Amino acid sequence: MTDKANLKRRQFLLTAGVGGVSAAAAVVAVKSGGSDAAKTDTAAKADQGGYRLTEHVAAYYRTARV
Amino acid sequence: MARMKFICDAERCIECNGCVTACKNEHEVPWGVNRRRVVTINDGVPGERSMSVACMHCSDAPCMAVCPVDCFYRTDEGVVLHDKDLCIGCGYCFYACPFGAPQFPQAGAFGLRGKMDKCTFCAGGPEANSSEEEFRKYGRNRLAEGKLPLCAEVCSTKALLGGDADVLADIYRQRVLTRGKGAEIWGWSTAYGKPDAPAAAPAPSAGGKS
Repeated sequence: MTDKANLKRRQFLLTAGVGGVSAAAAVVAVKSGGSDAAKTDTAAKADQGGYRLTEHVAAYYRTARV
Repeated sequence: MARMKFICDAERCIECNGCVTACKNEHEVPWGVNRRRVVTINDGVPGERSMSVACMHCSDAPCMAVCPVDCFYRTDEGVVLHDKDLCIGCGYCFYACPFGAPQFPQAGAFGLRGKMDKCTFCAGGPEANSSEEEFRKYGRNRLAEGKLPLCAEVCSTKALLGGDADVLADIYRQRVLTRGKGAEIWGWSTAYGKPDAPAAAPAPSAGGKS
């Protein structure tokens, strides 16, 4: 009886441990996902350094068609 | 991905040198260096042609091929740029370029050639976009500002075109269709007029017929 109770308690601790590890992994995954998103944003900003069809450029093309 | 190109419509260029002046002013180009210049053939003779010339940002650039320190690189938009931190001023690119685009400041002592300088398509250099260091070495980065090269934007007759090659080809094709002829005809009326417009002889009698 006592042994069974001990086993249940161990099972509880084991479950709590696994759950904790899972939660920690989830937190890490979210954090890493967030950094990926930040990297994507940075890359997008870097891409903006090149040519893009802005209103200014479109206006120039219109004047060149005269 | 758009590919950046220049094209100069020799039918429209009036040799005003506005592009040259705008370039020097925009990028604060040092003395003795002209990133862009206007070349005139048969100057003063009927049929003369002028053309604004700078780095043409070749798809297969000979300057890139001959550079011993490999300081040239090409951006995703096809703009040929170079790194002045790597350039040793040897001048090989000057001899290789068919347009004479690479320029060397000659203000130093003993005829010392400094770092090569050339048209950047207003796209700066390897430094951070629109940074002070980039401006000091290469001039303003107008592409990062969502603009096009100033020389093309200021051209009063829109002879010098710069931007997406597909768009420019379409514009130039439309001009040729409007003129009804190729580049062999010279004059204002052919540059701007319709195919039916009396190009050579705008006589009143000709207007009366139509």
